[in-house]
Amino acid sequence: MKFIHAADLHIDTPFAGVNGFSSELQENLKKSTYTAAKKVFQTAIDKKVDFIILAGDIFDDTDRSLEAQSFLKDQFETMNKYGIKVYLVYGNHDYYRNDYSIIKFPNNVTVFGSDVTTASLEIDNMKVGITGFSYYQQHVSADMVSQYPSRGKFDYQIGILHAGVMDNNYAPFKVTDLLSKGYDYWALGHIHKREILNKIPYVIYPGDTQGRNQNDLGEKGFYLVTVKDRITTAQFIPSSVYIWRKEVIDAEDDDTLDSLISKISNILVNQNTMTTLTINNAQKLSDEVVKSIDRGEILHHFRNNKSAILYKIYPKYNKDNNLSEIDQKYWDDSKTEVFDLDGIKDMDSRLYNNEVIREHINQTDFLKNMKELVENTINKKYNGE
Amino acid sequence: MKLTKIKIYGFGKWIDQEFSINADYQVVFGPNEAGKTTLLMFIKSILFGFATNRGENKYQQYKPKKGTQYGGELEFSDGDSIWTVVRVDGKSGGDLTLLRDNQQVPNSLMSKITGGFSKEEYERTHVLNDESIFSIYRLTAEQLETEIMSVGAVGSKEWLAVADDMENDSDQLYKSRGRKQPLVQALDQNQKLLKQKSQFDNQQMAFKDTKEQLKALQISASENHLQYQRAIEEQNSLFGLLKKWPKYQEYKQMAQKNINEYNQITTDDWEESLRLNQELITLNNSQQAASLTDHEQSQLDFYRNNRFELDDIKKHKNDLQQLQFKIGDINRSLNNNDNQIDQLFSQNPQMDENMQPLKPDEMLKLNDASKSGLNTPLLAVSAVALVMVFFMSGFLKFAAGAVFLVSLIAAIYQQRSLSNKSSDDFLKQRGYSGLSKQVVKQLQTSLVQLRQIRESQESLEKSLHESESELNQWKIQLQKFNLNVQTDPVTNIENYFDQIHLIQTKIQLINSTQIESEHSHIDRIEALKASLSVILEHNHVSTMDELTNLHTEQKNNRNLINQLKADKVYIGEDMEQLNQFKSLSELSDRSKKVDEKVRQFEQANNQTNRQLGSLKEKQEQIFDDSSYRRLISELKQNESDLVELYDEWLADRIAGNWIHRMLNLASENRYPKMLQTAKHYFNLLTDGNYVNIELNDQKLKLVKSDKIIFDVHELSKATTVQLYLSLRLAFITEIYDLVNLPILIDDAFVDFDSNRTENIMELVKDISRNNQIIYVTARLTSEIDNGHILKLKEGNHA
Repeated sequence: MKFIHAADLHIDTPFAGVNGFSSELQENLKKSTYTAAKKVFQTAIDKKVDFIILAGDIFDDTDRSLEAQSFLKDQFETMNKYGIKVYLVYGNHDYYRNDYSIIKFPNNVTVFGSDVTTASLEIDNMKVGITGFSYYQQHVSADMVSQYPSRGKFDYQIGILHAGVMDNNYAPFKVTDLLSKGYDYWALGHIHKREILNKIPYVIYPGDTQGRNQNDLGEKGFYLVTVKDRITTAQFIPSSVYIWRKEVIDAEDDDTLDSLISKISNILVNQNTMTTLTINNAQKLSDEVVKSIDRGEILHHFRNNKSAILYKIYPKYNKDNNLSEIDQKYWDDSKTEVFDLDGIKDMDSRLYNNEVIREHINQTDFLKNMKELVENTINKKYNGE
Repeated sequence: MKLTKIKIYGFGKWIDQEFSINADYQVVFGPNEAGKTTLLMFIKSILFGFATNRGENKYQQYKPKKGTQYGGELEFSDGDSIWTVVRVDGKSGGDLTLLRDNQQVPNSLMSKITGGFSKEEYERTHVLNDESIFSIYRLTAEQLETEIMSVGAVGSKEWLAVADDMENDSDQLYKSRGRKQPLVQALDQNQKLLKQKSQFDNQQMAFKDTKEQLKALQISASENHLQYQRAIEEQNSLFGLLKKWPKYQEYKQMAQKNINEYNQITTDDWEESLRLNQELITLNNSQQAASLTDHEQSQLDFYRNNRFELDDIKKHKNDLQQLQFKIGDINRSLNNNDNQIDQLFSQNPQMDENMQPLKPDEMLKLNDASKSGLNTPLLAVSAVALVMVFFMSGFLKFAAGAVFLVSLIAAIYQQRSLSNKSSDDFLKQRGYSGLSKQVVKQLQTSLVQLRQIRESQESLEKSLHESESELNQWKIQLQKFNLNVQTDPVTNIENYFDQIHLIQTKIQLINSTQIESEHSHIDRIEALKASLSVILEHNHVSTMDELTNLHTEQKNNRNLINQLKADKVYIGEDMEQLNQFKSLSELSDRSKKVDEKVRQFEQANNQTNRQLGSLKEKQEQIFDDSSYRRLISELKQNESDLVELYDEWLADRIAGNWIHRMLNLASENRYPKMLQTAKHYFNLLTDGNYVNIELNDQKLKLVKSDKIIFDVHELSKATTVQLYLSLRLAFITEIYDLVNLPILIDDAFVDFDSNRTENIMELVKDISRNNQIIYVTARLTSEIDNGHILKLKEGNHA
């Protein structure tokens, strides 16, 4: 028995910060989530799998996913021709709504409802059970895993679960909860970073099929799972059109614009990559070079790269010569007071009333990132200007 | 640590020089250009590195002009060990070597000497020169007060400037009541885009709506088209009626004449009566006219001479008549066909005489061309829709059906225009240049019809030609016998033979008269009269004249009936319709109305077609959805801009806050102790005018010798600067255990009067109990112990 476990296809994801690049690149990025999805279905045909599991967040945006739905329906119909079944759940992005889906999927597709249910099928004389549920609202705080039945009378049982470990907004669970069910495979979705949480039995986050922003790093893809003689093996198959990378170079005192560009060229060698570059020790650079970077001249220089794309540059200014060590105590003592989340929220109501900014502030890493940014800002100002 | 020795290899003007330095304070005296400032620069450079040759720094380079080695040594003492700092020319600030008691130690141990200070920090705390004092003078009262309050941290002045800068930067990005700042604009843009997004209907609902609208419109469009077709038909039929109206009028007038076709006088009766009558006349006139007149004789002679041909003519008289009818028939048929051709052309305005109907293989070619390069996406949509028809139920099934039809039609429609070019050539040859494939196909039926009519026309014309030439031969023949009267040769022949008959009868009579006896005449006349009266009676007339009249009338009637028959055939099935109109004006009124109706339907048709087109476009737009996706893309970009700008703005704001907070915290912690020291320095610098500095509620209060208390902003500028200096020096003393570097004073107090300068020397001595001071000046105004003075001359170096 063979099946594919994919999740978080996020078909139709838009990309930010690409306006300056060639229209060809913009077009390729726009299509990338479709292209990655096609790879999933083509692999299903090539590897003659029995079924495909899609563990939620298949569409990026449910309001208007007609094009994505039509695309998916076509793919499903192709699967139908090859006798490949599809088992899917909706996640927090594409949670089910009443006026959902004017386009009906063919009958080889099983969509799980809001309650935990088990579908059964027979492959190679094996009775296979697949258990799962779909999101019917954006957040599911209930302990859904407790509603999953213990292993039934199946030769092989799979659990599909779109959730975050101990994440109260998204069907919180612990790996031990899953293991206690006695299933043979847990097909997870929701987390975009690929991770194998457990090996026997497999509990796998396959990650998304295409990186969606600069923080969504590395090769993306899905798992081809083979069950032979009761032994399960999972093989990762890459599907990303562009791979997001982070790179760091160190600036030197005598670096010029040209020498920096040549250092960066040496890094931009991998095909189909979108690189976010940190220039470390930017305080060592001369004012002219810093101004050139700030004006985007380096980005502009690499703008026409076809395959190894320079996406963004972050100059990182470090403290020079143990700057003001004698006052470090006072910097540290005032830090807590200055980096106060409530104080930041109260700083300007107009800004906090904006939903995008409010969500940004409420993100877990916000203060940590802000500390880095502030230190960077201070180092830049104090050293350079 | 105390600086004990300066050893210069080469630095600016200085080459191979060595100076010993006092551990408490060292006054370096020399005129301008003696190299005093260079000496201080040397100390800073050896400690923290040479100025690099970049930017403004390059003017601070002191590379010796001659070939001597750049750099030198500084010797420090911590009471136990001698530390030697050696720096010579090298990469980024020069090559540093650190020795402790002549043993090299790691460079990182430099912090033992510098206390972790950077060159800038050192300059900001321990170095006092004209520039730093004047910059204090230049501050506004308010700035100065802030400066004074934050003097408790290293480089507070610069830090405050940085904080100011940050606040400026943040204001450039966003102000809560601003309009033009980028973050404000991004916020506005965000609102705008969200509004636009909400204006987009839910795509799926919109798709459904459009599909329903499209379906309704398609129904009304097809109804409209049907009505249009009907109107066109009516228009054509009325056009035909109008053409036939004159004949119809003629027919109606003739039909009104009461034509009696009954009781025809038979040919036998007629000929017999003529013969009898002639014989009677002859018998009655037998005495006087028992001979033929000359005219009669010549006629008879002519007949006898040409008897064979003339009898033949008589024999074929009916053929001649048939021939005439036939020609009439053909002419009517030709007329009919002409009408049909006219109708075909009026129904197909694009049709042209030059067009030839396509042969089957050419039709195939036309269809083949259509198949190549099919519009796959559209066909795919149609296929999807078709599949949906099967999979879905209820309304959706209809909707899908509609999509299927629409997309299929659209595909064919596109196809038509596509394949035009490929088959242009043979279409041009066939006379169809400039026409779409669809039109060409539509024209085929009419063209075939046209060809058939044309063919029938040809055969009719041929047969007309034959008949006419046959008739002509007859006419030549008749001409020969003077029988050809243009209008009615048959009647003429009949009349001729009637006459010949009369003459023959007369001859018979003359002959018989000559043979028979006289008395038999009367019997004969009686018999003739009886026979004649039987015929007359049979034909319901009393005299021979009446019979002749009746015969003439009947002959006319027969012509009329023939004409009527011909008219009826010509009018054909239209008769009933024509009967519905009382007059030509009624018919033409009707025709005009129908023309108007056709025009209206045409307009309505065009309008619905346009509406259909725009609806289909809208539907495609919804499905393709590019404008919405553009908006989503823009929104995504805007959100990323918002976050980025907000982060930048917040970082500036927090950085500013943090600096202020740090400075305040440092001051709060250091001030109480600093004030004790500063009070003494302030007293010295103000020549005893001020006796105390108090800190109340984060505010400094200055107590004059007369116990009057002043706020900082109440002081004179000079006094404020003295207060600042006192605090700064107190600060250096305060951090003495953290950073113990020599204080460098470069003629910083030149503008102070000599009294105060003396006080400053007091101050210097006072401070130097803890902190080493190197005081560089061009004036020696008070007595200083010679052992503390290093006198530089211009000749000292090089």
